[in-house]
Amino acid sequence: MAVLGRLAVLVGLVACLAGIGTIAYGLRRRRPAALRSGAHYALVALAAAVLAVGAMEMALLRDDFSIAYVAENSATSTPLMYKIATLWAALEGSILLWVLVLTLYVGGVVWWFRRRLDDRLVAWALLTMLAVAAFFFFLVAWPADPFATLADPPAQGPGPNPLLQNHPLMVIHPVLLYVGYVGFTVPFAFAVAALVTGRLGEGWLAQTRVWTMIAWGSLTAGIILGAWWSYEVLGWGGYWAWDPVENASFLPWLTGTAFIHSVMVQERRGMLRIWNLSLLLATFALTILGTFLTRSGVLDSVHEFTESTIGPLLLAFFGVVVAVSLGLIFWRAELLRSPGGINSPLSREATFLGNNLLFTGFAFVVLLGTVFPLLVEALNGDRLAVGAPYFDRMSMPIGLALLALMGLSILLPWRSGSMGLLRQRALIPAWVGGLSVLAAALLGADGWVALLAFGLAGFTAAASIRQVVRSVRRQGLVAGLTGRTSGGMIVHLGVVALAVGFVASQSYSTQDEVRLAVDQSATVAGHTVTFLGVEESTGAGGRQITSAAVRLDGGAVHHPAVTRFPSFGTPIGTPSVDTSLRGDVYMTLLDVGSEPGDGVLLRVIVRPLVVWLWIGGGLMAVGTVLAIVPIRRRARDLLEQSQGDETTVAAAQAPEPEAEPEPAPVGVP
Amino acid sequence: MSGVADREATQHRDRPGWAARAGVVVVAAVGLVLIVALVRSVGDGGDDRAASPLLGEVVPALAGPTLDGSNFDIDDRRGQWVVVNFFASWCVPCLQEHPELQAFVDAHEPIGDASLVSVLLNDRPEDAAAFFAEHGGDWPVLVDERSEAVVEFGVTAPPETYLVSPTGVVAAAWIGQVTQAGLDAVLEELSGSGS
Amino acid sequence: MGQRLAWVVLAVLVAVVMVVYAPGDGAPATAAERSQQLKETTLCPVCDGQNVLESNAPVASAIRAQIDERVAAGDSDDRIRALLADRYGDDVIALPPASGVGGLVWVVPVVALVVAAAGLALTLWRWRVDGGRAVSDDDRRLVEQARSDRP
Repeated sequence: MAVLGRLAVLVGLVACLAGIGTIAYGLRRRRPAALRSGAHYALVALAAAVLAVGAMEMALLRDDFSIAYVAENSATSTPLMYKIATLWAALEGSILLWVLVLTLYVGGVVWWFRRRLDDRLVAWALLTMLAVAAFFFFLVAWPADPFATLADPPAQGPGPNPLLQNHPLMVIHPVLLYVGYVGFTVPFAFAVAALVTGRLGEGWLAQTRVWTMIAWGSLTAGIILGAWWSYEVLGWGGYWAWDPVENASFLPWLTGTAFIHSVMVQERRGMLRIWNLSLLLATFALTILGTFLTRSGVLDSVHEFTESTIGPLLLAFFGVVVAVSLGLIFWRAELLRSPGGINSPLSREATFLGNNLLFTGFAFVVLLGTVFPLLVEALNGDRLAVGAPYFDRMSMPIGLALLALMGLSILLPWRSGSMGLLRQRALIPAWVGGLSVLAAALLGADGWVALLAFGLAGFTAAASIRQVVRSVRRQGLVAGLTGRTSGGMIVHLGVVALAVGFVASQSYSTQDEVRLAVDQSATVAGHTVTFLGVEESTGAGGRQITSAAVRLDGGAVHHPAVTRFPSFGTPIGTPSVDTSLRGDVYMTLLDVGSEPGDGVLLRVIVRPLVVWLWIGGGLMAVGTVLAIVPIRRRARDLLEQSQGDETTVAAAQAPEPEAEPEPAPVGVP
Repeated sequence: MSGVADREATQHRDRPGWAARAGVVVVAAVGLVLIVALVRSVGDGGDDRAASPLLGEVVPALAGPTLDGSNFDIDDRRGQWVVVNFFASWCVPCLQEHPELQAFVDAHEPIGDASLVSVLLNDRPEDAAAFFAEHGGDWPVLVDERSEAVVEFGVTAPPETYLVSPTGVVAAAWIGQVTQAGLDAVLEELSGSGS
Repeated sequence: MGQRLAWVVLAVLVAVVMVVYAPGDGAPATAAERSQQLKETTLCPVCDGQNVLESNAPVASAIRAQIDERVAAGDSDDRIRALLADRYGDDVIALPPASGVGGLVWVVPVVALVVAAAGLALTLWRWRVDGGRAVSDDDRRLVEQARSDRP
């Protein structure tokens, strides 16, 4: 198994290098045949990655403890589902997963562009992707080798960290996150290719849009699922702590979101090219930076992997990516001139520019806060912490501004609007916003920030729904709900739901710790908890579960528990959550008491509207799918259209009769 | 291909091109600072705890009820060395150092130059009492119910031990288990220098 | 006219609601609230970035108990934080300081915001003034070049 795995990794690495060499040769000597065969090496690399992952999974499922990774991270008693997930439970395996996802993307790109492999743009993009893949194959081949063997294999392993085998989301969240992270390699590669070949028209953007959306959608889902997982598992009732690892995943999301909006301006007007390229290059660079921060141990986090030697290597790679990106933009700077300007501050282009600034600013602040302790310590040795309160305070105004801008940009037309137009279109959404503030206040909300947030949420939701309704009226139900605009509106609705859930659960939570004897009750924020008794049981994989039966509000019985895993000394808490649309009651068992007569110590947290976060996330995922679906058909048409059409600067269109924010008929959906 | 365009464009100081290049330089500078800071952090061996800020300072107030109900106050012990040991019954290294502490007490009690006091950290008095009943030791054990002593001494996890001089100054600190030999060695060294 | 009225009524409604309901925010008043806020902004010294309210570590429990005691005794927030920072290190205070090198983390974003806003305003103004429609000789030359270079 180990031999097979190692061999597969080496084959993959060699295939990547061979592919790079062949494509480079083909580009230099202008040999299309070489370009095509270079692409085929990518498929070899994919096969190698699949084989390597297969070998590791076999080893895990067979409890092959002669492999160090299996011996350190798995146990015979680990349930099947979590054994499969152990592939990404620790550092080396997680890089192997990265390699698999990356080679899948490379293979996908090779297939998607199979009829255009001799196009220089595609060739350069593939070369870039293979270079990235080669780096990661190298990591797995040497410093982070998951197939290292033990001379003296133990009979049993400790199993994955208890927190990683406590909840099914462990199986989904990391994979989705990686599909997102790694997915941005595709548009990055095409951006590099566009800069290198000088073909900076809009063609490359359209051709990679599906890939960008898939990456963005997966990253969004991955982050939200991660938050949900934290909430369900960690026991302190929170879902986002501005932890460095969380921030690491959030940073590329911020620049990526700015990008997917800003490209629309480039597609229609050919403007903001430097912005778009910079955002895209930054997104990819931030995924590498994030990977570095998570795996180098430089920042404290509950999520981090163990320290290892790959830290410096990832940092070096990050440096190379940044240098290459900046160098390319520097070199091609004047080719990136745009033909027009923004005509009016009351136009969608202007709001998207503002959007870019806000998202970039947000990313800057999050990055600053995350690395600030390192900077200060490197500078003068002081140690200080930048914790959640800083990020909360900073993100509040930015979040409100984004919420407002989201609504405004939906209402404003392209090119130039006017105050009159805005007043007319915004009236109903503004009233919905105003009524939302009233409704929230009557339901018990208070505080400037929260009320403002609820008002803006109502405003933006109304603006989005208005857009969807117009779309459906115009094009019928199915066509009206699919497509970039409508899908986007549904994503925005998801964001609004998420914002409402976030503000409500952050501002109006109540927490208390109660010690209860059998049949004793306590009340927290209007909910009554009654302790019924302690139960002991044995769960999957030999874990000992001590749970307290607690009746909530005279109804359902919940079982917050403390679970002790066979090879881990400290027990971990397994909270129990009662979820409803109105809010969650979150119970953690803190202490069972050593004497039978002692009561139990329960922490009860009442958080309103938490489930809206997950509903919002779901809507965002649905919206993304709706936005992608029809594009596949149109993109293929576009591909054929734009065969020779590379320096097209999107022609400035004559203003449409109604200046409505509808998809423009320029061949780009 | 773009060579000619390059030259001409730069000659005419194209504004967007110039602005973009300036932007690149700024970002590059920021990126460089970031990378340098990160490189230096990777070099660090991780969390190295600074020495106790109490060294050389007057000992914080250490008074309160003990396990057996009497009252303890460190100020009563002025004139002799006091070893303050933070402990918990659930702490494995504490169990391992317990015989060492017992030996220390046995050695110094007849002489009367040094004494020992234990302080509970996040431990229930019943559990601690059971521990001492089982493993012996009859020196004062401060209950410290409100964790005042723990926080005043900046203790993060048991066992931690502090040595207080006869003049009431914190003279030494150990993080982790101690041995009688270790305690004695430091004691001698500090007594010898006449403090 | 009707539209204008609708806007005015809306503005009044929102203003009234805000004035009545908004001032729920404020500095935490009760001891319990102060305690809670202090615990949320003090990090556990041996945990990976968790604050003492979240953490189950023994030292977190100790610090929580002390925060409760000192708040009840009437110590000010600053005094409690100063003590904890002195004993456990400056990096247990989750909020970076407002002054000195640490204060930069507050200042830099604000400065960046001002610069960005100014830049945006300037760009919009310039684009509007320029109109962006005049085609310069450079533009013509660029397009000619690109056209002739096409493979």
